[in-house]
Amino acid sequence: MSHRIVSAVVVLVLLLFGASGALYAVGVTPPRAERGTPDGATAPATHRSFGPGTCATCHRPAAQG
Amino acid sequence: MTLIARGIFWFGLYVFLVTLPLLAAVLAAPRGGAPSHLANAGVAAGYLALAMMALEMALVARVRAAASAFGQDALLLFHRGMGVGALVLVLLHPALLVGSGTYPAAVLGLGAGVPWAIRLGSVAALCALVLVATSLLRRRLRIHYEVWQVLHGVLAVAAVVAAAWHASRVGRLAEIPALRAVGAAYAVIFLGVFVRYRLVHPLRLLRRPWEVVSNAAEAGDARTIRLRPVGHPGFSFEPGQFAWINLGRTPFHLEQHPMSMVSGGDVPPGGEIAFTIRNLGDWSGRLVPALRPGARAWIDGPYGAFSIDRHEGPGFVLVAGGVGVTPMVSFLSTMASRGDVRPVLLVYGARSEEDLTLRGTLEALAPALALRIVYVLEHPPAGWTGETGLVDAELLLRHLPAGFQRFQFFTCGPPPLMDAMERALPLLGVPPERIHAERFDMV
Repeated sequence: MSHRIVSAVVVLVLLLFGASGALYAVGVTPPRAERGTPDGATAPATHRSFGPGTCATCHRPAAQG
Repeated sequence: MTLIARGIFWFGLYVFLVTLPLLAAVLAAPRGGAPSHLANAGVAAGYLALAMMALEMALVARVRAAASAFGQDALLLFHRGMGVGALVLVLLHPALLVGSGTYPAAVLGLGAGVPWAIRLGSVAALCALVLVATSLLRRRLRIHYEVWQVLHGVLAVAAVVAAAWHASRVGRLAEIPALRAVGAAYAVIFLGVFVRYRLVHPLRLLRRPWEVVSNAAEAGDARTIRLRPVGHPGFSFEPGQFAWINLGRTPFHLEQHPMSMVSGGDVPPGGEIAFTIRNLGDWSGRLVPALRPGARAWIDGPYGAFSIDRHEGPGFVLVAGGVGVTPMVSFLSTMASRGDVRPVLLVYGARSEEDLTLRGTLEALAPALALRIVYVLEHPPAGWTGETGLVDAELLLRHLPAGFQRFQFFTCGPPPLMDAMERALPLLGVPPERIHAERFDMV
């Protein structure tokens, strides 16, 4: 198989993966109104805080929980 | 299954497996991800990168069914492209999570305040970075191929294990059962490929040793070694295919080199095979010349789709550079033994007349074939009346026979020659599906 064809396939696959990542991000991000609310429905009951104040469970600053 | 159907199946399976974690996350995760698009894109980059890294070994694990659909060299090229792509995603993952304000920049360090699960992510990223850099820049960094092979294997396993550990401990998705199941499936695939590639496959080869019959010097600082199977029938192959040669004490030895068979295909059970190997480094310059008759070798093959048997046509145009002539000699040798008199034009480029490896073999085969050979020398001797310089479209046009657009074109040689042919042949009206190339000097 020619180098050019494989390179084109590589670029296409990487674009496909990039698009799937972007689609995922758009699909799972909550509406703006629901984001970052201290006691929002999407926040877990307890935060597993680590490091300088970030929650390992929900990716939010531990202080919000 | 036809070749195209097999290709679609393996390609589809790869794309499905890489995107499966995101699919599982969308279906199984409770509504509401991280609080911003950027943060979720960072999470997606991490999952995609991990899946791509875990599948990298599967691409080069010599799974014959997959290799036969694309050709092993195409899989190696794809492996390299996906490796670079995975590294970009690996670096995007923390960049997006920190850039979106989800995590403080301090988590990027390996300092005392950072939990081990996060540090392992940094370790994985570092391994991936060194892995890709040493592969793309091996020659510039002057790393021996043999050292690189070992380094590549060790760093790959370290990167995948550290990244998997990191993913299973960090983030809101880590505790979702469906994603844990996907992670476990990946671990099984990764371990399965590793065990098959590094244990089962070498064990199979251990029962199939080969023995050196002869080792002769060739022009162009090359050697032709002939081998015979010991206690097993060996294998037949399609002309132009290649095998991995391992000269270690056992097949578990990590250093292996892919080489095209130079002898003809259609090998009878117990028949000998031969390779012509040019001195290009420690292994080919030191170990290969020292091989004596009776020496043990392990041959893993045949592989590859670069063969006249797979691309039938009314005639062939073969463009070779240097030791890239070896698969062409295999084509011609097989055609001679089959009484195949379809027209063949061989354009063979070399630095000098002394570098025309296997010239005598080619000229001995010519009377039995409808073969025309055009030698092209970069540095011709005094009185040379043949072609000079580099092989390009203009030179080809001077020699191509009438109706060449329907012929099958095969090119094998140094990267500049291959690149030149991939540019020139379509301009001459040769359809892409009739242009076949083989590259193995990717690192």
